[in-house]
Amino acid sequence: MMTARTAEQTIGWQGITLQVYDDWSVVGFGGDSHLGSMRIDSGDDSSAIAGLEIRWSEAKGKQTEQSLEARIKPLLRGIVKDAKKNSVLSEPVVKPFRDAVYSDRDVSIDFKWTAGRAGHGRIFHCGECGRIVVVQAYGNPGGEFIKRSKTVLDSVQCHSGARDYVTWGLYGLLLDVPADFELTYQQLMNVYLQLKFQRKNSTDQLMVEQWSLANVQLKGAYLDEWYELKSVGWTDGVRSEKSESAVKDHPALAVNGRRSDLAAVLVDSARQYSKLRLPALNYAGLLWECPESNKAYMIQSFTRRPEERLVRQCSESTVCHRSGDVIVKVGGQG
Amino acid sequence: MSLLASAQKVLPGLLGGYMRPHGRDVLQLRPLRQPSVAWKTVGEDNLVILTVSRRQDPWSNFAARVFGIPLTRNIELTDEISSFVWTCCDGDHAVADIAMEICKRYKLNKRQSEVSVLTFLKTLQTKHLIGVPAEQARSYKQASQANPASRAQAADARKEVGYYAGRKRSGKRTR
Repeated sequence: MMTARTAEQTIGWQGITLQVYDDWSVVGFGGDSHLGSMRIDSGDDSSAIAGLEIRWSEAKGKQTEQSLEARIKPLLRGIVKDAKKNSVLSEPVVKPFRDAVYSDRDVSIDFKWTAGRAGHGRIFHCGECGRIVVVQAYGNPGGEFIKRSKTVLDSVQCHSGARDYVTWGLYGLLLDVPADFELTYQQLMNVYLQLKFQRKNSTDQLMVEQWSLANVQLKGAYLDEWYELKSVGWTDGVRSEKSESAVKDHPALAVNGRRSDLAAVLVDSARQYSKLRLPALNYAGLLWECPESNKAYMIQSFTRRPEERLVRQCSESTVCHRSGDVIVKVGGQG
Repeated sequence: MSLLASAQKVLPGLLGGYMRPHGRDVLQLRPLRQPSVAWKTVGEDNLVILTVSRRQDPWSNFAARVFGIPLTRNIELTDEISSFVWTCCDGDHAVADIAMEICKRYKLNKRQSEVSVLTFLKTLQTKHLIGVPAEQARSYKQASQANPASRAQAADARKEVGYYAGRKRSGKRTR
């Protein structure tokens, strides 16, 4: 699905994916798949690239070099203005180029600037997903800045190779979710991530959770005990059956069931039928621990029809560890 | 002292006067346990139990007698990570070293471990259970006083970095 890259971590958000160094992290985001932005920070101001900014927006009609140049003009004008204020010379360079790697891009324009700091960015319009993406790396001029920024900018994709799936990845989480699911809620805490998705025009829901420090959190507990603890709230009123399973050679707990709490079912059904939608009553869940990355994962879904395949596909696409990761034993001795 | 510096003292949040330490500086601090806090490790996980004594001046003794406050109270650090961080607060280990060790032991990334360690150390500091050695605190204070406009400069530098400069940010901050 992805092209070969040299960097170490994949960040994926609202269909935009890119490869960055391992210690970089997302520090800000906003909007949705139609219009949004994201900021990624290297965490070290002295490194060649200090950070990265990405913006995307849907654009109707054909885009030309002139229209894209017009979009980045205010940005470059602002940089020149600031540079003049600080008495630093700035000469933005804007250069259209033919993107040989991504043939689905109608127009691509590279731009560079130096104003105390250096910036290297790219704006392109993708004919396939219909979005204009502006991505800009900034850092310290000289050194390896241009070389490294080019590597990162080359890795930016606005849609995944497989059109049926969207790659989501941040803070160590990386998985593919069916493209018809939209992000409705996210909880990004230091050692806990939760992403909730809902299928377009339906009541089907998908929830992905990741816990770091699994050897501390799971200590002494079996997966089913942990499941009971962590699934409280979302699975209330669900009559389910648990079974042993495996995900990527890790022992896993598979749970399948159906919402059976009569009052909840009636209320939910009434609400959904009034909107001419079927209520999602069928539950499927999969929980596993990955000792190599010291993380635990849980993927759950509520669907209108029994659809265990959904959870299974998401779990199989999850990259829970990389080859070469060493298992962390309980007690923290690596 | 200039007029601006005087105003900054009175209104630290305004005029760029609030001297917030830079993250890099904080990571170089070497936290030290409060000598009056007794502690021991228990169990095979070496979980730490702190024993904190209350103040013993006449007013405190009087208040303790009235409200039945015991002479000491125990604080249990319930997980091995917090216990590990506590044992590292010996004035020799810098915050960055502790975070790096947590990184290695528990497979967190650098930012995750720094956030965890700093948050926990802040909690300990607000409870007056740790501090920094006096000479380190003095040199740190001198360094920040040497450049009172550092915060304003840092803010200016941030403005230069890209097209968010001078615009209202729509993005949510994550952490």
